[in-house]
Amino acid sequence: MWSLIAALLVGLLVTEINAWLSRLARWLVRRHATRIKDPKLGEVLREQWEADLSDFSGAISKLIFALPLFIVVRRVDREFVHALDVDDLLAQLRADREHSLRSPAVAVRAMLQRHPSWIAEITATGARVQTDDGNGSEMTALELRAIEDWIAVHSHKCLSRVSFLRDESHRDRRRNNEVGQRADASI
Amino acid sequence: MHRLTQQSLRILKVFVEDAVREFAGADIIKTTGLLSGTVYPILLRFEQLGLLEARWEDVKMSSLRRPRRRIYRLTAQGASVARSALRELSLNGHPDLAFGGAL
Repeated sequence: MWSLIAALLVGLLVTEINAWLSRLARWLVRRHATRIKDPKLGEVLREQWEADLSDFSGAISKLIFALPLFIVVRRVDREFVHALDVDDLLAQLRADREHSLRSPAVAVRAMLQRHPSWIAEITATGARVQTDDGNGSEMTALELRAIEDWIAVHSHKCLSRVSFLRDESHRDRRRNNEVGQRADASI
Repeated sequence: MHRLTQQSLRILKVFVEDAVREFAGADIIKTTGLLSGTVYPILLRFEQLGLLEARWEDVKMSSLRRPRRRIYRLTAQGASVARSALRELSLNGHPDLAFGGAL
């Protein structure tokens, strides 16, 4: 009698733990997806991961699937989301340059403050970078151009990585930029 | 061409061995035994390099009772890159990753 009750209780406990682990795995998938800096990319990955999660039947295998996704978050933020910032910066730079070559390039400073590692890479190209708004902080046209060139190279490299996520408006903007580049080159 | 890691080659090999089939991330994880944290960044990278192309599963959401799967298939460029890389491995004595002779 007691052994039957014990077996029932163990069965219930196992079912409960199984359900709880499955819920934990689903929560982890959503949590990791929302931690991706680009919300659009995060949404795509969340849907993909939730569908893939449902392909695993056991609670433990669901958990083994969900736990290492934090690595994806780190890699995606480093390799793919970075490109969105670069693209926006490039558009801002072009707008600045069209307005005035001597403009303070606030956008550049803001972006460089967010990505201090870029400063070393840009400086390595020979350009001088000033990120503060102190005395003489305006960038010369030459500096601005050097930075723009550097970003253009990186942007081109990065843009192809996220092309599948771009909506029509974004593609249009890029096409316009390319048309602008060709026009610049022809001048 | 970018350097292909052993994990990347294992994933490519799955696609090459069944070139007409489309695979979801979960299929790749089950077949290769790699962790999700390894597989998804590689799939994203292959997609941006044009070695794989992805699409959303073409089914009615209401009939599924789960989110749509994102499925991948090898492109012609991907097949060419994978075959040459795997053939090179077989010549260099890595039979675990290389083809069994079908290609």
